[in-house]
Formats: sequence, structure tokens, C-alpha cells
Amino acid sequence: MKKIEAIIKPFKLEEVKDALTELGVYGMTVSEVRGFGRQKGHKEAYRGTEYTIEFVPKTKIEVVVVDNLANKVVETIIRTAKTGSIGDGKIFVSNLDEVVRIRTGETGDRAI
Amino acid sequence: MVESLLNRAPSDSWTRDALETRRRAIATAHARGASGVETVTALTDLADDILHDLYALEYAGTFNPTGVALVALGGYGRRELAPYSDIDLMFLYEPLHEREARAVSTAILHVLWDLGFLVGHSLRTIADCRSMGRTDLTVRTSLMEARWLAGDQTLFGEFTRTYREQVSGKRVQEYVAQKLADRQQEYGKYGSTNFLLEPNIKKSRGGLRDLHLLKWTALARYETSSLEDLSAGGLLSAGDVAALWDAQEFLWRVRNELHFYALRAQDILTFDEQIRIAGLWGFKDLPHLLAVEQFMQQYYRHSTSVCDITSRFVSQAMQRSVWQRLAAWLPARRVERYFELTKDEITVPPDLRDEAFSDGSRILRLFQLAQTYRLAIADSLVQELPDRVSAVGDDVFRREPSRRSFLAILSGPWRVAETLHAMHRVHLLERFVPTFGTVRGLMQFNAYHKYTVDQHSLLAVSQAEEIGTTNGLLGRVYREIKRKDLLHLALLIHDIGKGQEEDHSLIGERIAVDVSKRLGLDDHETQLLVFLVRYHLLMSSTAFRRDSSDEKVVLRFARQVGTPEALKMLFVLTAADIAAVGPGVLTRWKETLLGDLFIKTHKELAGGEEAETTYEGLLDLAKEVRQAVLARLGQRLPQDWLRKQLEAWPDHYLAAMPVERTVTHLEWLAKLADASVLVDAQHDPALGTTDYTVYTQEKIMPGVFSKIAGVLAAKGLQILDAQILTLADGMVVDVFRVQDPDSPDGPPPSRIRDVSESIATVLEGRRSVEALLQEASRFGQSLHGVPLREPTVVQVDNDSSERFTIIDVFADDRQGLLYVITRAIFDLGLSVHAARISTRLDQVVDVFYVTDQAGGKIDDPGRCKLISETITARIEEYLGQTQTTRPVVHRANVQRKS
Repeated sequence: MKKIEAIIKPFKLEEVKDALTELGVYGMTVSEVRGFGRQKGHKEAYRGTEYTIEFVPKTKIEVVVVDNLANKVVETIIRTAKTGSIGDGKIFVSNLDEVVRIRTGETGDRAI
Repeated sequence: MVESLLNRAPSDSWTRDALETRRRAIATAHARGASGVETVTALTDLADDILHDLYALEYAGTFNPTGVALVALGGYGRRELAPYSDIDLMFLYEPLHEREARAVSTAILHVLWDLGFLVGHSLRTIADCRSMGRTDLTVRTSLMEARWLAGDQTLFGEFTRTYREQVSGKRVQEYVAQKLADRQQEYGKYGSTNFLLEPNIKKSRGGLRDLHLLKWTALARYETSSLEDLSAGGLLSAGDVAALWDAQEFLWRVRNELHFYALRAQDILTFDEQIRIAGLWGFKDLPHLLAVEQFMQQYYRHSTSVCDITSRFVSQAMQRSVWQRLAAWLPARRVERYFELTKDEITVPPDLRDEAFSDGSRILRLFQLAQTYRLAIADSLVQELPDRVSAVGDDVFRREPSRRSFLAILSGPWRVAETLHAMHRVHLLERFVPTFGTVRGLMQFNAYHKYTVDQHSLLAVSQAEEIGTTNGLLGRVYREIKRKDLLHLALLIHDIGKGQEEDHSLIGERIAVDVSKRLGLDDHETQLLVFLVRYHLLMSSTAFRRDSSDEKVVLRFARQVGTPEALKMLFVLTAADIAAVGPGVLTRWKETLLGDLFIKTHKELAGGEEAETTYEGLLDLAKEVRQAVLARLGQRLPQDWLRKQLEAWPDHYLAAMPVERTVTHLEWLAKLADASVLVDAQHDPALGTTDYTVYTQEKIMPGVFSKIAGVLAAKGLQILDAQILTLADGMVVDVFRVQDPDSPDGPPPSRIRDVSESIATVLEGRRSVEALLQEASRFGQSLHGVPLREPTVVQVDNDSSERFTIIDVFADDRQGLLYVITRAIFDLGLSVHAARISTRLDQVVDVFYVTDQAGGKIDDPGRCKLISETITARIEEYLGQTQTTRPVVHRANVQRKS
């Protein structure tokens, strides 16, 4: 099992979600996050006063999938979340030891 | 009585089964429609029966029946047991009978535990009760509700008397205050509004606990908790008593249903349960209102009356002593004949009320004064207000001075939401916004909203006020908004289209039109209000779902919003609306996205620098610059001439531009005496732009600005920015910043000479712009423009600047378009003072700061309309000429032309 975390631009969420659902990924966790990578923060001026945006708003998607789906998911996220400009985000893929469905106690692939 | 109990054949068969049977019978009766009172009484009787039997059973043995009494406390003492309530028991004993009391209590409690009851118990002497009652608030309360169950009645009688004399009758004020504080703390935990979407039927605001608070207060203060007694004593009106009975009945019945269904003490009215109970009780889905929403509307009505009546009753009971009251009244002053203002209250003396309110508009005046002086309206008066409001005819509220008072309340500058809330409670708000009556307690059945529609709207207003006190971008923008009354009004009505079949934004739009009429708003105000209500979701959907770094997105949004003032209002409205959904919903994340879109759009709409910006010390800065310039040029140029020119120079321009630039301008102007037109060109390699500065006399030719724009266009230059200065003696300095697509690495001297000479030729009248344009038309440029996708929009904005009327033009880009626009502006008899021209992709967004010939703003709505229509027509005409395959332009979405 793999856990895939993607940090994407907020307005790309719908598109990514739809594409992943089409792929057969039915569960995901989405959170509003703020942070920065190479894009850094930036300053916006309004009538002479500068408002620093230190952390850029992003959306984080977390999905857990069986191993052989992981590459597909990553490809799909790249395809849909890409705008080509700075700040498109990152994808982190990690191995996952265990998944338990709380209601039934099922584990492993069945619990995803 | 004790004897009779002892003589009764004690049933020793109180088993779980037997209890279950009795309980099931009660549940069945409940399911068949038994009232809440019937059910709680039956449950209390059942518990009483069990305890009587158990007690009798014990005493059939060896003990002396005197010296020990079994007492019910708390909710059980009040005879208000819900199916799975705790049972509070006290074994009251005389000190000599302690052993006995222990034995009895152990025996009885064991059986109760075995039967599955949740029991709270205590063993106390009268002295224990006194000392604990004095120190522990909860004990003090539960002992007030003590009810004799079995055992020594004399002992119980003595307890009641001494407890009353020595504990519960003392320091009542303090006790009530503490209870109230406790309750308020509880609100913090279970919801500080009675409009939670998943309320706790007991502990949330407006729940049963508030009824208890009323009863406790009554017990402590007036020694009775019977609503009828309170009504007879004139402490509650008959209407209040009826409302409380209805509410109590409703809440009990819901709570019984929750408990019976969950088989445990489940007090939270969850979404699942709401749907289930609504169906169970026969509510039917209507096309626009779900069964569950109708059911919850009833809940909110009841919880609102519980909450209101209780808070009134408690504050009445806490009234200060006569002396304190006198002291507070001493500095009372009378305002406008009827209104009496004390330190913290406003009222109308009872004998004057009929006279005062014979003019219905004084009710509004009352609220306005309360707001202005930051006072509360006296409870005795609030109680009467609903009746007084309903006695006033609708026409009174549609006339002055009612309308003026209402708008003044909306403007603030403080306690806007609070005042509106108070008006809503006495049914006054719905006289201005009729729909507000129908959304009272209307829930929004989704997991996102936490409050009902009316509460959400009022909360949104208070969130906007709150935003105004913050330091960030939002706070600053709120403070800059000129028409806060319209913003608050928009917040108040933005969602009240809900609860009907149609899209709520569209209904809201109609409501906004209606409200505008009632309040007598003018066309411009109406349009602004309607826009804000109709498009209250536009900014959030754009900021959260679109890419605001995409210029197309920003442009489209800017086009829809139209003016900086509307943008500011929409920005604050959006944030306040989100914040009013529930605590913590407006996150920094959302705020940042909205702020980003705001700043980008504002740049489009207002231009990069606003002529208006009032920097602190701007005047000082301008003065310094003047002196610096004088020092630099004083030797070479005549002092008087310099001074005169510098005086004519606008302060904001001097302050914003480097001294170098002003010096250069003056040097050129000095040379102008020998020539009619001078052109200076400076290339800035860093920006890739060239500044063409044209010096001439205003009188040389009418429409200098538009002529220059025409020449530059004919020469294939793209104008980015233009600044117009008209100085003393009619001298004109026009600065155009342009980009030259033909020479990306900087224009060669020949190009600069060509452009400069062409400007001079045209301004001196030797050639016409039209001829130049004709000559310059290039193959492939005018005929194969980008297909037209966006309609032309021209907005005339009088809100954003104190001194200038601002014209915003959105149109498809075409070579020479700026000339067409500036020409139209010139033909309309307007002078342009500054302009910002931006071309993004295939769109132009041009902003012109104009005045009429006399230097004033164009305030006349008819003239504004003419301006907008003329410019639009000219642009359309021009674009139509240059492209043969123009699709039909849908003018319908050209909004808010003012």
C-alpha cells in the first residue's frame, strides 16, 4: 500500500478529484494548508501598504491506494494539477504499513 | 401517610423485567401521542412507586420510621424525569439515626443499581444541608427543589423551613447572578446561540436548562416555580406563560423521543434524529422546504422564546435595590421629550408611552438613540415593543423619518448588528425587510452552516463590524468603504432568498429591489445593493475555484464587479459571510486567497496609483519637493515663474515623482516659449518602455490628449500608462509610457524622431490623426483581430475618488482604440486628468480620471448615463468597422451603468 500526498493549487482540487474518482480512487482526505516551497511568499501592495503573504495557500490531498495503482495516481495528479507555472506543488509517495477500517476492524487492502 | 405506606403490601418483585414492562407501557403511550408532561409525569410516578415500595419493604422490618426521610432532588424533585434521566436522592436523617440511614440507603441503592437506574445520592443531616447549600451552588439549587418521598415528614418539614430561612432565602441576588454566570459558561460549551444546527436539547441556549434557570430564579426570589403563580403575581405575562408551556411541552416531547429511541440519555438533536422525528411527527417535504426544516423551524421558535423570556425574567429578578435604582436614575436626562437616558439604559416613562408611540417612527428613534448612546433598552419597555410595533401601519415605516433612522442605524459606526438583533427580536426588522419574518428560525439543512438564516445574516453584519477593528487588509478595506450602511444592508439580506424554490441569489435580487424601494434608495444605491446581493458568491467562487494568477480570470471578475467601491464592499461582504457560517470557518487560508484576488482586481479597477491616496504628510512632502526644485533651478530660471508653475503642480504628483523628473519638466517648459510643441523621449531599458513627454499649450488645439493617443496608436505603439498635467498659464505636460513592439531592444533615434515629429505635426494642425491612422493601417492587424468574446463595458464611478469621476472601460483590444475612447471623452466635454491604460491579452482595461470643464465631478445621473452610452457606442462602432465577423454582443450582462 502506498500513501500519496499531493500539495496542489487550490483551484485545481475539483479537477484532480474528478480524475482520481474516474481512476477508481474513492476515498481521499483534503485539507486547506499554507506553506511555501520555491515559490516563497510574496508581497502585495495596497495603497502604499505592503501585505506580506508569507505562506501561500495550497490544498493537500491524501490518498491511500494499493501498490499497483500508485503510479497511475501520481501520473493523474501530475496531468491534472499542472499549470506549468511556479507553485504547481509537489507529490510525496510513501510506503504504508497498515490500514484499519474502524467500524469493522478490516485491515490491509480490503480496508482501503 | 407513613403508616399507609407501611401497610401497603410491598411488592418485592421490582425486577428489571417488571420495570421494563412499565417503562414500555409509557413508551407506547408516548408513541401514540401522549404529551411531554404526561410522559415525564408517568416516569416520575414510576420512580416514585418503586421507591415507595422499596422504602416500605425496608421498614416492614425493624427500623423506626422516624428520624430518616427519603427525599427527591433536582429534576426528579421537580417531577420532570425523562426516560433515561438520573435520579437524585437524598437520605435526610437526624444525627442520632445515622446508622439506620446508612443501612436503608445501602439497601435501597443496591436495588436501584440492579434495576439499572443511574442514581445520584447523598446522606445528610439538616446541618449538612445548610453548610453545603451555603458553599456549593449546585447543591444549593438541587436542595431548593427537594420533594418528600417517604419517611419522617416532620423532619422534612423542618428541613424545608430552616433551609429556606437560612440558605435559599439569603443573598438571592448573588445566587441568581452566579447561576447566570454558570449558565453563560455552559453556553460557551454547548453553543452561544439558540440556532445551532445540532442542538443539545437540554444544555444549548434556549434548551430545557434555560427553563430551569427561570424556575430556579423564581424559587429563590419569589418562593415558587409555578408558572401560573408567577403569572398571577404579575411577574410573567399570560402570553409568556403560554409560550413557555408550549416550548416546555415541545422540548420534553422531543427529549423523550430521543431517549426512548436511543435507549440512553441522548440529548443531542443530531441531523439523523431531526430527519427521523420530522418524518415520525408527520411533517411533509414541500418543494422548497424540507420536512426536517419545518420541524427545526418549530424547534428554533420555541428555543427562541425560552431564551428571550428567561433572560428578561432573570434580569428583572436581579433588579438592584431601590436605592441603587434611585442612584442610577438620578442623572437621568430626557431627550426629545420622551426618552429617558440613564447610565446604562434608555426608556420611555410608562405614562408617556402611549403618547410617544402614537407616532410609530419613534420606535425607530428609540433604537437609534439606544445605538448612538450605547445603551440597552429597558426590559419593561422591550416587553411591550412587539405589540407596539404591530400596531404601527406599514406606511409609517415607508416614510421619513423612519427610513432615515433605519439607514442611520445601518451606518453605525458601532453596535449595528446588536441594534438590528434587538429590532429583530421585537419583530421590527421585518417591517423593513418583510422576508426577514419568514426566515426567522429557518435552518439550512447542510453540514456546513451552523446557524439559521436569520441568525447567519445578523451574525454576518457583526462579523463585518468585527473585521473593521482588525489591522490587516480586510480591516483597512472595511474602514475605507464609504457606504457602510449599504454593505450592512446587503449582508442582512444576502441570504434571505433561502427557503424558497428558486435560486436564492435571484430571489435575493428581487428582495433587494423591494427593500431599496421601501427605503427610498436612489438608482445608484439600488444598483449597488442589488449587485452585492445577486453576486454575493461571486468572489468566493472566483478566489477558491479559479486561478487568480491567470489574468483572464481577474479581468473577467473585474468586469463583473465594475468599480473599486463595489469591489471593496464585495470583499468585506464575502469574508463576513464566510465568517458567519460558524466559528473558525474563515481561515487564514481563505482570507489569503480572497485578499490576493482583491488586490489584483483593485489594480485593474483603480489603476496602479490612485490620485486620491492621502499619504500622511503628503503636503509636507510636496512642500519639500517644491523647495528642492527651487533650489536646483532658482539660479537659471526666473523665480516668479518657477513659483507660479510649482504652485499649479498637484501635490500628489510632486510627492510621488522623483525631484529629477519635476526638474526636467520645468526645464522643458521654460524652453516652450520658443516652440508650440516639444517632445522628450526617454527609453528605460530595464522596463523595456519609452516615456514620451509632450509639452505644449492647452490652447494649441482642442483634445490634445486624445490627439497624442491617436498618433501613438498610428505609429504602432502600445500605450501602457498616461499622466496628464495642466499647469499655470495653460501649459500642458502629458506623459505617455509606451511599449514599442517594432523595436523590442529599444527604439533607434530615427524612430523616436519620427514619433516626436508626428506628434508635433498633428498638434500644430498640419495633419489629422485620421490620415495618420489610414496611412498606418497594416495588413493583417485590423482585419484579423482576435474573435470578440467579451462585451464592451463602460462604468462611470463616482464613489472611489473625492475629486474625480472615474471611467472604467473594458473592451476588446484593437489598434487605435484608445484614440477612439479619448476622442469620445473629449467630445463629451470632459477633461482627463490621469489615465491608466492596460492591455492584457486581447482585452483593454482603461481607467480615466476625469472632471467636467469646470473641474468638478459629473454627478448628474443622466449625464453619467450619456457618458457610458456614448463611449460604448463609439467603441462598438469602431470594433464593428475593424472586424467583419463580429458575433452578437449580449448587452444584457452590462451591469450597473451609473
